[in-house]
Amino acid sequence: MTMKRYAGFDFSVISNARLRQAALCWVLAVLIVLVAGCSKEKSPLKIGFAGGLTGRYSDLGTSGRNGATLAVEEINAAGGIHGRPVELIVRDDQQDPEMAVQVDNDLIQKGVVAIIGHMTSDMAMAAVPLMNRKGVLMISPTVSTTFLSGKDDDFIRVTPALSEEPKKLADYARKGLGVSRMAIICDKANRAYTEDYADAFKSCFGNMGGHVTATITFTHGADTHFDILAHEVSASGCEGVLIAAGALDAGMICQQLHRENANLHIFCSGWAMTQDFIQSAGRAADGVMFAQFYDQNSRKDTFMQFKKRFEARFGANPDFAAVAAYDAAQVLFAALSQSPDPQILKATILKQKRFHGVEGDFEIDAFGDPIRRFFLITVANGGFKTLE
Amino acid sequence: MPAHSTLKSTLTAYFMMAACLPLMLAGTAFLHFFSVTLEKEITGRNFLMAKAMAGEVNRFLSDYRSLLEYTAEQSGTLSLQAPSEPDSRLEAMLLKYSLFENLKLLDTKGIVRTLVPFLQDQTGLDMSGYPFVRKAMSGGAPVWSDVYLSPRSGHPVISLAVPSRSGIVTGDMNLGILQDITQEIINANGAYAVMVDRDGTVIAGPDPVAVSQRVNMKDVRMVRHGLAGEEGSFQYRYKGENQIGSMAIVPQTGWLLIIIQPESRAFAVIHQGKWLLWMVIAAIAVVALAVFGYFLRKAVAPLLRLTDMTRKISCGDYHIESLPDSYPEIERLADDFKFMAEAINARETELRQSREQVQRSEKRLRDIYDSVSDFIYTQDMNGRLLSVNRAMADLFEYAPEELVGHVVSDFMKPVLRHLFEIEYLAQLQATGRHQGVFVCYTKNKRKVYIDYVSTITRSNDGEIFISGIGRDVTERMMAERAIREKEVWIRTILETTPIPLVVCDAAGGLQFINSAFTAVFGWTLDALQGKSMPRSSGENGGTVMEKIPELCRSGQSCTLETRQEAKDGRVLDILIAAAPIQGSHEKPSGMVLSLMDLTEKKKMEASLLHAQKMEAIGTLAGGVAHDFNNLMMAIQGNISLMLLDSGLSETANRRLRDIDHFVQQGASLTRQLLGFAKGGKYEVRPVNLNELLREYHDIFSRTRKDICIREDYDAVLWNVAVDSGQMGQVLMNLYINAAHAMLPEGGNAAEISHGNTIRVCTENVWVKDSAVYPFEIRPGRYVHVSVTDTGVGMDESIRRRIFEPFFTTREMGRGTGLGLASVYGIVKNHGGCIDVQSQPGRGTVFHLYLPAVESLVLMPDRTEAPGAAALSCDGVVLLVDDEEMILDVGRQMLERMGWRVSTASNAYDAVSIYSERHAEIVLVILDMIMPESGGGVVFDQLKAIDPNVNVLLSSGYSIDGQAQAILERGCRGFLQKPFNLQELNRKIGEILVKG
Repeated sequence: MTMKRYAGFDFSVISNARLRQAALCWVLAVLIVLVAGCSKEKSPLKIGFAGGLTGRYSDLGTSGRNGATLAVEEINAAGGIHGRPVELIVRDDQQDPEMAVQVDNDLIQKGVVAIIGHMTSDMAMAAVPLMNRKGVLMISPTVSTTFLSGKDDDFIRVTPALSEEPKKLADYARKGLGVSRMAIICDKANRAYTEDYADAFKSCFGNMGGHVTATITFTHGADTHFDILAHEVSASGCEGVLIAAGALDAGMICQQLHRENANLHIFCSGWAMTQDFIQSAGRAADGVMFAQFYDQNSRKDTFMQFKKRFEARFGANPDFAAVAAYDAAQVLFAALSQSPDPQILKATILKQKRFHGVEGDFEIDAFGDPIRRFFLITVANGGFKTLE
Repeated sequence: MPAHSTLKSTLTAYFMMAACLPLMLAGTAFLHFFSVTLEKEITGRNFLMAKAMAGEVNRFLSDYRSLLEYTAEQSGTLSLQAPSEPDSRLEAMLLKYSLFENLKLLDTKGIVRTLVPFLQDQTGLDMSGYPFVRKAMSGGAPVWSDVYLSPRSGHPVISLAVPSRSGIVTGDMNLGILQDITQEIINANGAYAVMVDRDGTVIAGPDPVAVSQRVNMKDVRMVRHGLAGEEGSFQYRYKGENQIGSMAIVPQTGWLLIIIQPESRAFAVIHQGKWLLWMVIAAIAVVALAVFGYFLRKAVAPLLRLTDMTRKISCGDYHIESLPDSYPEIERLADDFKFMAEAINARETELRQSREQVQRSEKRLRDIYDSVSDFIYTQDMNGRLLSVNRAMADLFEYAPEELVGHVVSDFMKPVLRHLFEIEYLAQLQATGRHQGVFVCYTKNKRKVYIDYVSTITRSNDGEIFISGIGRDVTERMMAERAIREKEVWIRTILETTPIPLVVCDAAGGLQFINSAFTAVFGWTLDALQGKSMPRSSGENGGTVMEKIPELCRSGQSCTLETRQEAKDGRVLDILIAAAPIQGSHEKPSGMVLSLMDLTEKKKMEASLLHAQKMEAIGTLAGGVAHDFNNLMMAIQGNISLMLLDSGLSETANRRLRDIDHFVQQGASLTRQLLGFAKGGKYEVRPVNLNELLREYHDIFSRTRKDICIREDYDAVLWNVAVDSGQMGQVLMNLYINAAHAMLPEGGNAAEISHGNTIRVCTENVWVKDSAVYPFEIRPGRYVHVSVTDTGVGMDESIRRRIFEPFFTTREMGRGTGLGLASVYGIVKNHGGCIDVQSQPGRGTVFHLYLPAVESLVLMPDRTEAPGAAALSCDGVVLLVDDEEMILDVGRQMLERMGWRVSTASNAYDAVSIYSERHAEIVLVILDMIMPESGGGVVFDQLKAIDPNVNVLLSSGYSIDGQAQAILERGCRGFLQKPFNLQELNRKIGEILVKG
């Protein structure tokens, strides 16, 4: 009789014990595979967001958060970065330097590979030393103080330093409108930005033969009366006023200035260029001049599509903070796609140099400062209108 | 036999199917129904809660709106003209109803007229920038705003704008109230409520940070559905946890009120129920399996014991022990197994004995198999060796097991393998048998030849294979090859030798002839195989062939000369050399004969003999002619002088002229004789024979109009170096001979006739080495002239003698017999040759071959030199001749011409006289042939005295090489004896004028 041998296994002598052993082995193998499969689920890439999400300056922070959120949701819908989902951990710096450092520390403890933020220069000035010590990269959407320009640190931004912005306004005021006397109003709540802005404007305006009649600073509070402030400005004999403040305050100041002297030429820093400014300024917003790298009236396909997605997601038009935060997130994703090692993120970004923005490509120089074009923008019919 | 499942596993499987499976199915169905129902109830309850809460919020908002509407109605009575002052009624309203954070009264342009709490710097503010204000102003209906940042507080706020007659009343809602409403839902089950606005921004919820940070929840699918107008309960995943959201829309604002509960907590009771039910089912299954297992073991154990029993039997252990008591069926089965084991044991013993016997027999056969010297092998149908005997393995220098599995072609040259396999197997398949000899190589690369026979064999059990035997025939093959090579070598020698060879057997029958025999005699071996050689003519012709059997018996060799007729009738002179071939037992088995053709050799010998005879005759004729010329010189000279005497009578003059004429004829005869003897060339020049032929054609035609000459000349004929006069003599003699042959009776030379034709042809030919003998000419370029007549022809006996002097076929007195002799001599003297072909009744052809030259034909100088009579005979002529009669008559002739003459009869006197008187001696007439010193020596001596000496040679011989040489050394001319006064005068004139 010929014994059938099947893969070397003689079936005729299989015992119950062997059957049980084989079944047990199969079950264990299945369990191991399942566990291994579960454990192989890829861990998320953690990214932090730090900005002012509450308070009167929270328009910038919430817009920035929304822009970053949209970028993260889109990258995850596309499969993440090399199969790893991106987790955005959001923290509110409450527009307080100490809180800014605290939230950054908290984010670093949670293992973020980089932080998108902060949204204002004062917060960034407080946070950058921590980032340098910890060796974690910070990418700011909107910080533009020149105090952080030209430095080899762990700080990169997608908004150019503000030197070109006040220069453009000064040039338009002096040469375009013929204004020779300007007054300047600064909010001390973000001095690293507002005073830097005022100084740059003074220098440019002065070089063109203009004269700053008054520089008035304020800090929002119960004792701050914008009507008095407006009166002071008007009394300085200026023909135009530069306001370096947040959207709500700039809007209120515009209303007061308009009541004092409807013929004043009003110029605002880019910080205020949100819908909150138009709402709070009312009719006084008409004709106010801004200089921004963000062209809300752009017809570029990338911008139109982004705008459509943002409106669908958040029910509102994206402002410059949302666009900048989205761009900042894309820069980070581009670097992480090349290498998830947080130690070389900055080097990767500086090496790549050129990135795709919502409104077009832009370059980041060796010190992490971008090179972008500025537009002259005014308010008309309840909206922002690009002049050039 | 395919493997089946065991009884145990089968029974277990059936139990599982029959008992556990229904239990599990029922349990699963129940659980599913239970879960679905409970889930529905729970989600339904949450939805009702959400609806209730949305209704409450709606009522709150309605109260809020009602209040503002009331305020709007009342705003007309409020004082708005002093915006710098607070309005007390508004303040009271604000205090009373904590729904608002502030109230504002706006004019129709959206400017703040008054507000509570009152802030001076906010009065007069333009709120038209707010969309909800613009909408209220344009729509005329209350408008709720989206959440926005309050410029006053900097916190998120929602406002309601209610149009009034004087403007708009706005109120910023206290979001804390909404927060309080939602807080009511929070319970121990983890449920909580969240409210979002029309954009998905959180406006109330358990986490105030979400409100203050204006977190947007539109990323939650459920929220998107709600904002699209759908109400209900939804399951979704949020931050890694499954959630249940029950959503209701606040009618007045479109906000969503969502009650959220983690699924794990919402359906906790369901999960607990599931676990409980599964535990019960599992417990029942375990108990059932345990009971089943017990009964199964009791039933299957005896079967397992039987299994052990069969295993022992299969291992050869036939000692079977009785099994313990069991079921009767199993006990009967066990007894049968025992009986079977005993039967198997007996049969195995019988088989073992048979096997041993077979093994012994097989060993015997194998010993025989391995002891034979021939090869014995078996192969499968693909040619692979299945077995080989010791002899075959030893030949191949392998062990027998090393050869098994190989095909024989593995030991052949690679190029032959494939062919052998195809041929070998194909033949076997077709005929069932194959035999032959193949070449292969042993392990040590030794070449062996194997003679084999293979046949297809069928064994008793139907197996088909190839069996064969073989033998090493290497030595035999090598010997055969050597013999074949030797045979080829011998055949090559026999075939390539130029001598005809024949091999015949002892009876004289031809067995072999070589190609030289066929080429010479014309017969092939096929025509003569086994036959005797054709009888040869001649006295010894038959004797040779008849003698062959005798020679074979005696074993002697012989040679003889005879004549043999070829196949085409030619009779050849042959030399036969015969030698016996030694066969076995030292008896000749045949003869080998060589037959050398002597025909050409004999012809050449005859031609040489003829040429030698002709030369001897020529020398004799030349001497006779010379002496006659001297005699005729004396006669003619005297006659010339006598004819100058005017005192003679007419009769005497006539008789002297007749004598002169006959002397001329005699001189012509001697000239012909000299032409035959030494040919004689006086003036050799490059000549185109075509022109010469045409010239003499004209001359002959004028004299023989009854003979027609047809010309067929090569237009580009090479030149020949000849004496034109001599050659003309040749042509005339040939024409005359042809005319005699065509008109033996003489004919009528004046009557034109075309019936008798002489055809003259010329061509350029290359004479090769093989054709020059016996004509004694050099190979090279020649001009061939053929003269063909249609005369009576000649037989061989006449043809052979045609060039002999004095030989003629004409009647006595009609021919001298010197014409063709002189032609022969002249042609020979010019380095050529002449041949004749003729047959009686078929005419005759004369072939002349003259060597061609490269020199150009020069036009002859036709100017005539004046005779000596025209010259002033001032000077002395020295006459030198050893014959007195020549001196005497010569002196007289010269003196008659006016010359002063001095004579010398020998060379010494001649030189002496000239040396003394060379200044006055203008000419020396010098005889060529003198005793002691010849003309050449005297000339040289005279020339030594005076290099410009004028010498005229004279001789009874015609001009020859010696005379030519003297002429080339500076002698001025040659005059043949006999000559008359006029000839002497003209020649002297030629010399002295040319100088």
